[in-house]
Amino acid sequence: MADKAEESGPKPFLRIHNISKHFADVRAVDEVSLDIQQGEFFCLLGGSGSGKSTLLRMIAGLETATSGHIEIEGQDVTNVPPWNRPVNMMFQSYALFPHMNVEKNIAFGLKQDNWPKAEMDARVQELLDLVQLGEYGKRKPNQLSGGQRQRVALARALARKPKVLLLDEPLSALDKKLREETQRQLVAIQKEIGTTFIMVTHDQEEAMSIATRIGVMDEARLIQVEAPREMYERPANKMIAGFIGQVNLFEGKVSRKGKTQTITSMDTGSLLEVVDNTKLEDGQVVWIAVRPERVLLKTNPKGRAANKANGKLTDIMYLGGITHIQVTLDSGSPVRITISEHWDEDEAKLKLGDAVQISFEKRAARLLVE
Amino acid sequence: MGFGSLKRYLVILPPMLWLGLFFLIPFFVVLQVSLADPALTRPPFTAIFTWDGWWPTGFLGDLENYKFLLSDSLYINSYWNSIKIAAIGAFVCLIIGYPIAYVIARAHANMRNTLLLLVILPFWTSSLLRVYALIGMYSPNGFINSTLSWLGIIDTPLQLMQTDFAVYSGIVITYLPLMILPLYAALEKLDGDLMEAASDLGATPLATFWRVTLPLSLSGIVAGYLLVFIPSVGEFVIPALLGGPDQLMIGKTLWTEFFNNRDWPVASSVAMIMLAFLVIPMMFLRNTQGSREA
Repeated sequence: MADKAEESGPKPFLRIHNISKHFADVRAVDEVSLDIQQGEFFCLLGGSGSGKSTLLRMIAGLETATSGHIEIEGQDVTNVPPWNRPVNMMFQSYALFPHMNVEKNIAFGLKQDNWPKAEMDARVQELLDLVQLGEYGKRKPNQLSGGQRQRVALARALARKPKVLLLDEPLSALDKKLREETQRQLVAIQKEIGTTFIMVTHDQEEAMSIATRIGVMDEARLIQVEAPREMYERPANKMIAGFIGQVNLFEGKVSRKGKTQTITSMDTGSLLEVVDNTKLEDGQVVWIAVRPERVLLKTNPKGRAANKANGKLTDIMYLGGITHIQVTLDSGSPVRITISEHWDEDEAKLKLGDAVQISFEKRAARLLVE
Repeated sequence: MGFGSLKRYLVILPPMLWLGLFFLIPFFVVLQVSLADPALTRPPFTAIFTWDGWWPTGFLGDLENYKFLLSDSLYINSYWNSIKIAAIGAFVCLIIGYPIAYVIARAHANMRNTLLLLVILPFWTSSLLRVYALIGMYSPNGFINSTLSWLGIIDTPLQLMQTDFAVYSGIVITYLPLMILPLYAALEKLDGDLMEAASDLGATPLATFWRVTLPLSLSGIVAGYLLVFIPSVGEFVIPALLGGPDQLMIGKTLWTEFFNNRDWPVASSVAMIMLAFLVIPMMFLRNTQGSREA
């Protein structure tokens, strides 16, 4: 998909081309290419050790690339030292200077760029207002709460009006409630100032709720780049399907090809049909991915047809708005189901151990070849 | 007084006794001698109290010795010279010690202890021995001069001994670990993210050093500086062995008064004033450490 943008789309704002980083004999980032447009809120998502932070640090210039190059607005910055790059980074530890008060922390970069005093003061005040810390300018970092420190770090990183703002797990140190609130603030601030944001996170929910596009990294490689909805609906492989949200995977062999592809699955003990135009071979091993909310549950198991399987109810977890249900199929495979409409156990007269039937639409499933 | 505080007093009693016996009592003895007059007796000074049994009835002491110190430029010069040499010597230690401490603090964790050991190792040999080693290096037929003349670079030996340079090298070789250790402690605590943040915000490595590293290691600089400065002021061995005859340091003057002139009262007043000079920076050191912990 990145290739297509290279040919037809507007010139990318930030282009990462075939970049690699090797530490001794470890490949931290392996031939990653990525184009990011101006004004995007891009999330690099991946587990620890996936290389996402190293990629971010290479954009910042804090790590030098082993090979490949990085361009910002058409200018090659691969070998530009960090202090000369038009990007700024917000650190996971916030890295606020403990010997300077909030104002001086925010003004650090401006002073480095020799801003006149009056303009510098105005800019600092503007940023303090932006992050709603107007009255805290004279405080030292150790006199602030975690959430306030986080906002100072954001203001400081934005002070020099960077072309790209890099955020390294900026919310990981906040508790859950504050984190959700801060996510919203971050999105609002990004919309207000229009700066391109690139954020690293290991939290897929965070990425889903914030990002305009997500890039998933695994084992030093960039696996898939998509908008959140497309990423969820059309994961590229089993790893991403399981990483972005929950998923039921049924392994099977291709038995009939066509517009509707048919798979014989041992996991469900039945034929599975899915609408998919992937080129397949007879007998090829594939996986059918179905999201828990796309699985339907029936209380009277009757008949055997495609995309249906019988089993027993083995777990009900009522969470109020939604209910998680687990069914163990006769083949032994577990299936997770999420029901979001009002669920009343008495009404459904379901209890653990009852025989049930699961089914799903052939358009609700996704065929994965790896 | 509860049992807890009683225990606490028991714990601090031995060090208090030690200080009382070997610091406080000698201090008052020296103070008393400094107020007395020299006499051809044994010990060679007059008593400053008249006694009636156990009770002192009269005070005969005076500040004549202190006035004498002010009247003779020899003493003022020695004090000034001592403070100057100690201040410059401590500064040289700082200039040499800071990069060393920085490199150790930034070294890989499993290298740090080895490097620290290399810094402390010379400290385990006698400081006198180390100063004698310098004489072996600097003397007219010492290592440096003989090597240079063997190489044909010089004809006549360089005057290295009895110079300021020799005295400063003596201070460095004697006190450098006292500078490096507090600097290392301050630099090691420094978060590497702060340096990266500074360079990300447009600071060149030099600017990062001035605006972040140096201010954040200030407590270590003050501690290290005073730890070198304080013993250097009263230093006797280094100026005596390495310094020239014109280099009057207060330790040497003190020695001359005591053992050559046998003027104990004047020597004692010299010592008292030196003590005052040293107590002031020590109080300063205590204050900075207190505020660092707060």
